[in-house]
Amino acid sequence: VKKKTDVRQGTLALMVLKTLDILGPQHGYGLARRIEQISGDRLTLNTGTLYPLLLRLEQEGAIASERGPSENNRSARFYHLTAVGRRQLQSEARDWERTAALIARFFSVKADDLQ
Amino acid sequence: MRRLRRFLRRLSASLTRRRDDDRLREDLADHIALQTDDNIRAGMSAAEARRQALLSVQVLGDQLDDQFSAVRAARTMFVVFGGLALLLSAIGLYAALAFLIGERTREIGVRIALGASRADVGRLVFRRGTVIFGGGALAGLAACVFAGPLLAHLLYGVGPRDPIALLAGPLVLAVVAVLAIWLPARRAMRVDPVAALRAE
Repeated sequence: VKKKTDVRQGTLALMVLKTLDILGPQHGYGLARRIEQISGDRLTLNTGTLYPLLLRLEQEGAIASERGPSENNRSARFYHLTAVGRRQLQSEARDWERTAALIARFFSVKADDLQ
Repeated sequence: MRRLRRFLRRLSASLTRRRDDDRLREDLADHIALQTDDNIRAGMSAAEARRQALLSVQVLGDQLDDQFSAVRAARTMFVVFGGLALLLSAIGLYAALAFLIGERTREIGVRIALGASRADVGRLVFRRGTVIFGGGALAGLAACVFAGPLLAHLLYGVGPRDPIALLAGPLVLAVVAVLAIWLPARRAMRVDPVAALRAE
Protein backbone atom coordinates (compact mmCIF):
# COMPACT_ATOMS: atom_id res chain seq x y z
CA VAL A 1 0.00 0.00 0.00
CA LYS A 2 1.39 3.32 -1.04
CA LYS A 3 1.51 5.87 1.75
CA LYS A 4 -0.89 8.74 1.14
CA THR A 5 0.36 12.16 2.05
CA ASP A 6 -1.60 15.20 2.94
CA VAL A 7 -1.06 18.17 0.69
CA ARG A 8 1.61 20.44 2.03
CA GLN A 9 0.34 23.86 2.99
CA GLY A 10 0.53 26.37 0.17
CA THR A 11 1.29 23.89 -2.58
CA LEU A 12 -2.32 22.97 -3.36
CA ALA A 13 -3.04 26.38 -4.89
CA LEU A 14 -0.15 25.87 -7.29
CA MET A 15 -1.41 22.38 -8.18
CA VAL A 16 -4.89 23.73 -8.84
CA LEU A 17 -3.61 26.54 -11.08
CA LYS A 18 -1.31 24.22 -13.02
CA THR A 19 -4.00 21.57 -13.49
CA LEU A 20 -6.44 24.19 -14.81
CA ASP A 21 -3.67 25.51 -17.06
CA ILE A 22 -3.08 22.11 -18.65
CA LEU A 23 -6.58 20.69 -18.76
CA GLY A 24 -8.76 23.77 -19.21
CA PRO A 25 -12.06 24.31 -17.34
CA GLN A 26 -12.81 21.70 -14.67
CA HIS A 27 -15.42 21.30 -11.98
CA GLY A 28 -14.21 20.95 -8.40
CA TYR A 29 -14.80 17.22 -8.27
CA GLY A 30 -12.93 16.63 -11.53
CA LEU A 31 -10.13 18.86 -10.31
CA ALA A 32 -9.79 16.80 -7.12
CA ARG A 33 -9.70 13.53 -9.09
CA ARG A 34 -7.19 14.97 -11.61
CA ILE A 35 -4.86 16.23 -8.90
CA GLU A 36 -4.93 12.82 -7.22
CA GLN A 37 -4.31 11.19 -10.59
CA ILE A 38 -1.37 13.45 -11.47
CA SER A 39 0.17 12.79 -8.06
CA GLY A 40 0.12 9.06 -8.91
CA ASP A 41 -2.50 8.66 -6.17
CA ARG A 42 0.00 9.73 -3.54
CA LEU A 43 -2.25 12.61 -2.53
CA THR A 44 -5.76 12.56 -1.15
CA LEU A 45 -7.67 15.79 -1.28
CA ASN A 46 -10.12 16.93 1.34
CA THR A 47 -13.28 18.56 0.09
CA GLY A 48 -12.95 20.80 3.12
CA THR A 49 -9.59 22.04 1.85
CA LEU A 50 -10.26 22.19 -1.87
CA TYR A 51 -13.47 24.21 -2.03
CA PRO A 52 -12.46 26.99 0.36
CA LEU A 53 -9.22 27.27 -1.63
CA LEU A 54 -11.15 27.52 -4.92
CA LEU A 55 -13.34 30.20 -3.38
CA ARG A 56 -10.30 32.13 -2.19
CA LEU A 57 -8.53 31.85 -5.56
CA GLU A 58 -11.69 33.11 -7.24
CA GLN A 59 -11.97 36.04 -4.84
CA GLU A 60 -8.32 36.86 -5.54
CA GLY A 61 -9.13 36.79 -9.25
CA ALA A 62 -6.76 33.96 -10.18
CA ILE A 63 -9.63 31.78 -11.36
CA ALA A 64 -13.21 32.39 -12.43
CA SER A 65 -16.18 30.06 -12.49
CA GLU A 66 -19.57 29.59 -14.04
CA ARG A 67 -22.14 26.83 -13.80
CA GLY A 68 -22.41 24.43 -16.68
CA PRO A 69 -23.43 20.85 -17.45
CA SER A 70 -21.08 18.04 -16.38
CA GLU A 71 -20.21 15.00 -18.55
CA ASN A 72 -23.45 13.34 -17.54
CA ASN A 73 -25.51 16.51 -17.69
CA ARG A 74 -25.48 17.41 -14.03
CA SER A 75 -25.16 21.07 -13.23
CA ALA A 76 -21.77 21.87 -11.69
CA ARG A 77 -19.49 24.86 -11.20
CA PHE A 78 -16.65 24.93 -13.73
CA TYR A 79 -13.45 26.76 -12.88
CA HIS A 80 -11.02 28.24 -15.38
CA LEU A 81 -7.76 30.15 -15.16
CA THR A 82 -7.83 33.92 -15.67
CA ALA A 83 -5.03 36.08 -17.09
CA VAL A 84 -4.17 37.06 -13.50
CA GLY A 85 -4.05 33.39 -12.55
CA ARG A 86 -1.79 32.55 -15.47
CA ARG A 87 0.67 35.27 -14.42
CA GLN A 88 0.46 34.10 -10.80
CA LEU A 89 1.14 30.53 -11.91
CA GLN A 90 4.22 31.59 -13.86
CA SER A 91 5.73 33.60 -11.04
CA GLU A 92 4.92 30.97 -8.40
CA ALA A 93 6.34 28.21 -10.58
CA ARG A 94 9.55 30.22 -10.92
CA ASP A 95 9.72 30.75 -7.15
CA TRP A 96 9.06 27.10 -6.50
CA GLU A 97 11.76 25.93 -8.90
CA ARG A 98 14.25 28.31 -7.33
CA THR A 99 13.41 27.07 -3.83
CA ALA A 100 13.50 23.42 -4.88
CA ALA A 101 16.88 23.87 -6.59
CA LEU A 102 18.26 25.60 -3.52
CA ILE A 103 17.07 22.87 -1.14
CA ALA A 104 18.40 20.22 -3.54
CA ARG A 105 21.88 21.75 -3.25
CA PHE A 106 21.73 21.43 0.53
CA PHE A 107 20.61 17.83 0.39
CA SER A 108 23.29 16.80 -2.10
CA VAL A 109 26.20 18.62 -0.53
CA LYS A 110 29.02 16.52 0.93
CA ALA A 111 31.71 17.67 3.33
CA ASP A 112 34.34 17.21 0.62
CA ASP A 113 32.63 19.72 -1.65
CA LEU A 114 33.22 22.47 0.88
CA GLN A 115 36.96 22.09 1.37
CA MET B 1 -14.77 58.69 8.81
CA ARG B 2 -12.11 56.09 8.13
CA ARG B 3 -13.28 54.15 11.17
CA LEU B 4 -16.83 54.26 9.91
CA ARG B 5 -15.70 52.94 6.54
CA ARG B 6 -13.79 50.14 8.23
CA PHE B 7 -16.79 49.31 10.37
CA LEU B 8 -18.99 49.11 7.28
CA ARG B 9 -16.43 46.91 5.56
CA ARG B 10 -16.43 44.54 8.54
CA LEU B 11 -20.21 44.50 8.54
CA SER B 12 -20.25 43.61 4.86
CA ALA B 13 -17.53 41.01 5.54
CA SER B 14 -19.72 39.21 8.03
CA LEU B 15 -22.51 39.23 5.47
CA THR B 16 -20.15 37.97 2.74
CA ARG B 17 -19.12 35.14 5.01
CA ARG B 18 -22.71 33.94 5.00
CA ARG B 19 -22.73 34.10 1.19
CA ASP B 20 -19.44 32.14 1.11
CA ASP B 21 -20.99 29.48 3.34
CA ASP B 22 -23.90 29.11 0.92
CA ARG B 23 -21.46 28.78 -1.96
CA LEU B 24 -19.43 26.09 -0.15
CA ARG B 25 -22.62 24.18 0.67
CA GLU B 26 -23.53 24.28 -3.02
CA ASP B 27 -20.02 23.10 -3.99
CA LEU B 28 -20.26 20.24 -1.54
CA ALA B 29 -23.68 19.17 -2.90
CA ASP B 30 -22.25 19.20 -6.45
CA HIS B 31 -19.24 17.21 -5.28
CA ILE B 32 -21.42 14.54 -3.70
CA ALA B 33 -23.61 14.32 -6.81
CA LEU B 34 -20.61 13.94 -9.12
CA GLN B 35 -19.00 11.38 -6.82
CA THR B 36 -22.29 9.44 -6.84
CA ASP B 37 -22.27 9.43 -10.65
CA ASP B 38 -18.71 8.11 -10.60
CA ASN B 39 -19.59 5.39 -8.12
CA ILE B 40 -22.53 4.27 -10.27
CA ARG B 41 -20.25 4.12 -13.30
CA ALA B 42 -17.91 1.98 -11.21
CA GLY B 43 -20.76 -0.51 -10.83
CA MET B 44 -22.42 0.37 -7.52
CA SER B 45 -26.18 0.40 -7.07
CA ALA B 46 -27.67 3.90 -6.93
CA ALA B 47 -28.29 3.74 -3.18
CA GLU B 48 -24.83 2.38 -2.39
CA ALA B 49 -23.21 4.96 -4.70
CA ARG B 50 -24.94 7.78 -2.87
CA ARG B 51 -24.09 6.34 0.54
CA GLN B 52 -20.39 6.01 -0.32
CA ALA B 53 -20.31 9.53 -1.73
CA LEU B 54 -21.83 10.94 1.44
CA LEU B 55 -19.42 8.89 3.53
CA SER B 56 -16.38 10.33 1.75
CA VAL B 57 -17.49 13.77 2.88
CA GLN B 58 -18.69 12.68 6.29
CA VAL B 59 -15.25 11.31 7.14
CA LEU B 60 -13.86 14.79 6.64
CA GLY B 61 -16.37 16.10 9.14
CA ASP B 62 -15.18 13.53 11.66
CA GLN B 63 -11.56 14.52 11.03
CA LEU B 64 -12.39 18.13 11.73
CA ASP B 65 -14.29 17.11 14.86
CA ASP B 66 -11.14 15.49 16.22
CA GLN B 67 -8.95 18.42 15.30
CA PHE B 68 -11.25 20.96 16.82
CA SER B 69 -12.35 19.18 19.99
CA ALA B 70 -10.02 21.28 22.17
CA VAL B 71 -11.16 24.46 20.49
CA ARG B 72 -14.76 23.39 20.91
CA ALA B 73 -14.22 22.76 24.62
CA ALA B 74 -12.71 26.23 24.96
CA ARG B 75 -15.62 27.67 23.02
CA THR B 76 -18.17 25.98 25.29
CA MET B 77 -16.36 27.54 28.22
CA PHE B 78 -16.49 30.94 26.52
CA VAL B 79 -20.19 30.57 25.89
CA VAL B 80 -20.89 29.57 29.52
CA PHE B 81 -18.72 32.26 31.10
CA GLY B 82 -19.76 34.87 28.54
CA GLY B 83 -23.42 34.09 29.18
CA LEU B 84 -22.81 34.26 32.91
CA ALA B 85 -21.03 37.59 32.56
CA LEU B 86 -23.88 38.96 30.45
CA LEU B 87 -26.43 37.76 33.02
CA LEU B 88 -24.46 39.28 35.91
CA SER B 89 -24.05 42.60 34.15
CA ALA B 90 -27.77 42.60 33.31
CA ILE B 91 -28.64 42.03 36.99
CA GLY B 92 -26.09 44.60 38.12
CA LEU B 93 -27.26 47.15 35.60
CA TYR B 94 -30.88 46.65 36.58
CA ALA B 95 -30.07 46.98 40.28
CA ALA B 96 -27.94 50.09 39.81
CA LEU B 97 -30.42 51.94 37.60
CA ALA B 98 -33.43 50.94 39.66
CA PHE B 99 -31.63 52.05 42.84
CA LEU B 100 -30.55 55.39 41.36
CA ILE B 101 -34.05 56.20 40.27
CA GLY B 102 -35.70 54.78 43.42
CA GLU B 103 -33.44 57.03 45.47
CA ARG B 104 -34.81 60.06 43.67
CA THR B 105 -38.47 59.20 44.19
CA ARG B 106 -38.86 61.95 46.77
CA GLU B 107 -37.09 64.53 44.62
CA ILE B 108 -39.36 63.57 41.77
CA GLY B 109 -42.38 64.04 44.01
CA VAL B 110 -41.16 67.53 44.84
CA ARG B 111 -40.67 68.33 41.19
CA ILE B 112 -44.20 67.20 40.42
CA ALA B 113 -45.52 69.25 43.33
CA LEU B 114 -43.72 72.28 41.91
CA GLY B 115 -45.42 71.80 38.58
CA ALA B 116 -43.24 69.43 36.55
CA SER B 117 -45.33 67.32 34.20
CA ARG B 118 -45.08 63.50 34.21
CA ALA B 119 -43.45 63.73 30.77
CA ASP B 120 -40.80 66.11 32.19
CA VAL B 121 -40.03 63.63 34.95
CA GLY B 122 -39.94 60.76 32.49
CA ARG B 123 -37.50 62.65 30.27
CA LEU B 124 -35.30 63.52 33.25
CA VAL B 125 -35.11 59.93 34.43
CA PHE B 126 -34.50 58.56 30.95
CA ARG B 127 -31.76 61.06 30.18
CA ARG B 128 -29.96 60.16 33.39
CA GLY B 129 -30.27 56.42 32.71
CA THR B 130 -29.12 56.79 29.12
CA VAL B 131 -26.00 58.68 30.18
CA ILE B 132 -25.10 55.97 32.68
CA PHE B 133 -25.83 53.12 30.28
CA GLY B 134 -24.15 54.84 27.32
CA GLY B 135 -21.00 55.51 29.33
CA GLY B 136 -20.83 51.90 30.45
CA ALA B 137 -21.53 50.52 26.98
CA LEU B 138 -18.86 52.73 25.38
CA ALA B 139 -16.28 51.75 28.02
CA GLY B 140 -17.16 48.08 27.53
CA LEU B 141 -16.97 48.32 23.74
CA ALA B 142 -13.58 50.03 23.96
CA ALA B 143 -12.33 47.25 26.25
CA CYS B 144 -13.66 44.65 23.77
CA VAL B 145 -11.94 46.29 20.84
CA PHE B 146 -8.62 46.28 22.72
CA ALA B 147 -8.95 42.89 24.43
CA GLY B 148 -10.61 41.01 21.53
CA PRO B 149 -7.40 40.44 19.53
CA LEU B 150 -5.84 38.76 22.59
CA LEU B 151 -8.07 35.75 22.00
CA ALA B 152 -8.14 35.96 18.23
CA HIS B 153 -6.38 32.58 18.02
CA LEU B 154 -9.38 30.93 19.70
CA LEU B 155 -11.96 32.44 17.37
CA TYR B 156 -13.11 30.54 14.30
CA GLY B 157 -15.44 31.94 11.71
CA VAL B 158 -15.66 35.25 13.56
CA GLY B 159 -13.12 38.05 13.77
CA PRO B 160 -11.97 39.52 17.10
CA ARG B 161 -13.82 42.70 16.15
CA ASP B 162 -16.82 41.17 14.47
CA PRO B 163 -19.43 43.95 14.37
CA ILE B 164 -22.41 41.69 14.97
CA ALA B 165 -20.78 40.02 17.97
CA LEU B 166 -19.67 43.39 19.34
CA LEU B 167 -23.14 44.90 19.03
CA ALA B 168 -25.11 41.94 20.39
CA GLY B 169 -23.92 42.38 24.00
CA PRO B 170 -24.70 46.09 24.32
CA LEU B 171 -28.02 45.51 22.57
CA VAL B 172 -29.13 42.95 25.17
CA LEU B 173 -28.00 45.28 27.94
CA ALA B 174 -29.81 48.19 26.27
CA VAL B 175 -33.07 46.25 26.52
CA VAL B 176 -32.31 45.55 30.19
CA ALA B 177 -31.47 49.24 30.74
CA VAL B 178 -34.74 50.39 29.19
CA LEU B 179 -36.64 48.02 31.49
CA ALA B 180 -34.54 49.02 34.49
CA ILE B 181 -35.29 52.69 33.86
CA TRP B 182 -38.87 52.32 32.76
CA LEU B 183 -40.23 50.27 35.68
CA PRO B 184 -38.99 52.52 38.54
CA ALA B 185 -39.60 55.62 36.41
CA ARG B 186 -43.25 54.66 36.06
CA ARG B 187 -43.45 54.26 39.81
CA ALA B 188 -41.70 57.61 40.32
CA MET B 189 -44.13 59.37 37.99
CA ARG B 190 -47.05 58.09 40.05
CA VAL B 191 -45.61 59.48 43.27
CA ASP B 192 -48.23 61.39 45.22
CA PRO B 193 -46.69 64.88 45.48
CA VAL B 194 -48.42 65.51 48.82
CA ALA B 195 -46.93 62.39 50.36
CA ALA B 196 -43.52 63.29 48.99
CA LEU B 197 -43.69 66.77 50.46
CA ARG B 198 -44.95 65.59 53.82
CA ALA B 199 -42.01 63.18 54.05
CA GLU B 200 -39.63 66.08 53.38
